[in-house]
Amino acid sequence: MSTTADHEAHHHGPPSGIGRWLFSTNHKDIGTMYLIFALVMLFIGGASAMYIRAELFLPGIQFLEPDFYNNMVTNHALIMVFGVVMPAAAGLANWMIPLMIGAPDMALPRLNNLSFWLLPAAGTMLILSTIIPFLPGGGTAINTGWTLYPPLSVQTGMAMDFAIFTLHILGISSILASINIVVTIFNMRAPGMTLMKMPIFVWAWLFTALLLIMVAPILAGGVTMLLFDRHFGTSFFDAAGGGDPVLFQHIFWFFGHPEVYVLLLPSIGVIGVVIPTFARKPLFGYKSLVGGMFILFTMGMMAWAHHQYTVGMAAGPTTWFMIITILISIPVGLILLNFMMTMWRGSMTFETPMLFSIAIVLMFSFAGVTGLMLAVVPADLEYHDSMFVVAHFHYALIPGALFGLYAAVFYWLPKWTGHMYDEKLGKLFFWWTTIGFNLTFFPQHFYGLAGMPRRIVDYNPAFADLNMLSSIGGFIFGLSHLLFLYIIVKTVKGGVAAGDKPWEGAQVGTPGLEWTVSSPPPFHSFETPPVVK
Amino acid sequence: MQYPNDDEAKSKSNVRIALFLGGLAIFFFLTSFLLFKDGIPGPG
Repeated sequence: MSTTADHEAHHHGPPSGIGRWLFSTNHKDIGTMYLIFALVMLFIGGASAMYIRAELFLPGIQFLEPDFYNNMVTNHALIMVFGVVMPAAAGLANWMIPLMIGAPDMALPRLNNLSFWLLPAAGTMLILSTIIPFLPGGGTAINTGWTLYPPLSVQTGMAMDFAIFTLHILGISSILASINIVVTIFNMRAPGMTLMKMPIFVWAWLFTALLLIMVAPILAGGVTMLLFDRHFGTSFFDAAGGGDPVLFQHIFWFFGHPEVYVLLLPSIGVIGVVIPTFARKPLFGYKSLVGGMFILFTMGMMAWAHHQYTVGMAAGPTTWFMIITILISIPVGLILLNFMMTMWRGSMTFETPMLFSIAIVLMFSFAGVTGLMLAVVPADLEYHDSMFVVAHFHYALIPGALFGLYAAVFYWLPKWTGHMYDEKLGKLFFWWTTIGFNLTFFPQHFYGLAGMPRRIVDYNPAFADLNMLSSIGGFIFGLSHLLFLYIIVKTVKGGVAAGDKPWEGAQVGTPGLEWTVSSPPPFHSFETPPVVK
Repeated sequence: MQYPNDDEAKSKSNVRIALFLGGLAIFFFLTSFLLFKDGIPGPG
């Protein structure tokens, strides 16, 4: 229990020096650290993407060893999924969930500190895994892609052990953060803030956290078995010893497919608060949106093997996975319909967060259509492992996850910093990044369908023109993030005062309590619990 | 001021829910090993 002296210390505001960050138990400080970590990793993961696109600019091998190319493909995915989107979403959760539901902090603040500080350790190990192959006796680079399929992952050098431990640490961090979020949502809401009054962002994170608690341990189990196969003489995934390599694929995708929803749901939550604000209308079908996310959460755990149609499963399970995958389009369609109906006849304005939200609805729908194509078994046998799949999941994850995070940053930056961002620069960033993104990935549908495989360093010169277009788009997309960084730094340093309620439309429907505190919020918010009527 | 740890009942309840969820995570971790009901495959 805290003492009176402790309370006095709390009243004095933030501690000074490095200790403020190292030992922080304040949800806003930890949220800020998550967001900064994600931003740093965005540039590292982005650099590997730039390398990939530079290599594919022309057919033939341009720069380094093919193994290094494969390593970059692996690192790009691992960093973007585990180092960027998940920490950024956790940063938003840390910052916003207590503010939205009227809690003074997260339920378990010390656990919150541990959840964050595991991340830099994991990030360092992942970066080391790239360096190790260059050292004497370092062995081969991780060349498996983020799926880490055996037998290749059993044969790879010691860099793979670093990647496995990275995943263990990241998994522990995610599980602890998720536990904290669920406990906060269930136990720390202000009086009167019933579950059905919570902002949709909080609901989205509740489902995300529950999903993570259930599936992250499965990945931990799978990579632990991989570690045992590599070093302790077991044969979990070795047919010669009675194991089965396909089993790893099932374990991986039992985690991997729900993971897609882990990446998507927080952004669905973000646009669920952004669109009503700028349409100045309550969210259309709040209850059905919560229901839609619950169905997505449930069905998302039953569809994993649609990633493995080509391994030769029996007709029964294959049909099951095909039907479930196609049926998932129903809750997704429902969610998108909710957003469109919220905009319908709204009094809309198009600030940067709204532009990103509209782009998400349009471009994520496009990913939904290509997803349906991939769900159909006979068609997928043709599309599998082609650049068409790369185009599909980048259309799902860049708008579906990354653009949602951008929308969130622009939407809440005035609240976090107390300053309005430069709207002109925000819009410039939106158009720059959207054009760059589409230029990169739209052509990949065509050369994918024409037969270009994914994860390959060299390719048929017939695909040269479209690949060059993709690479130019990639560089445009990558460069736009320097502007993003500039806008953030500029807003943090100063600007027009934002006021407590920078968005006039933010009060419609089921608003969070973040608009009842100052901008920026005090170091300790809700010293007396607010009452929601 | 209502810090999370100020209210003993709430603090205990927070820990109880967290332990339950942690247990759930450990259960799922172990489940992946239960797939091998005939024992762990040995050296190939």
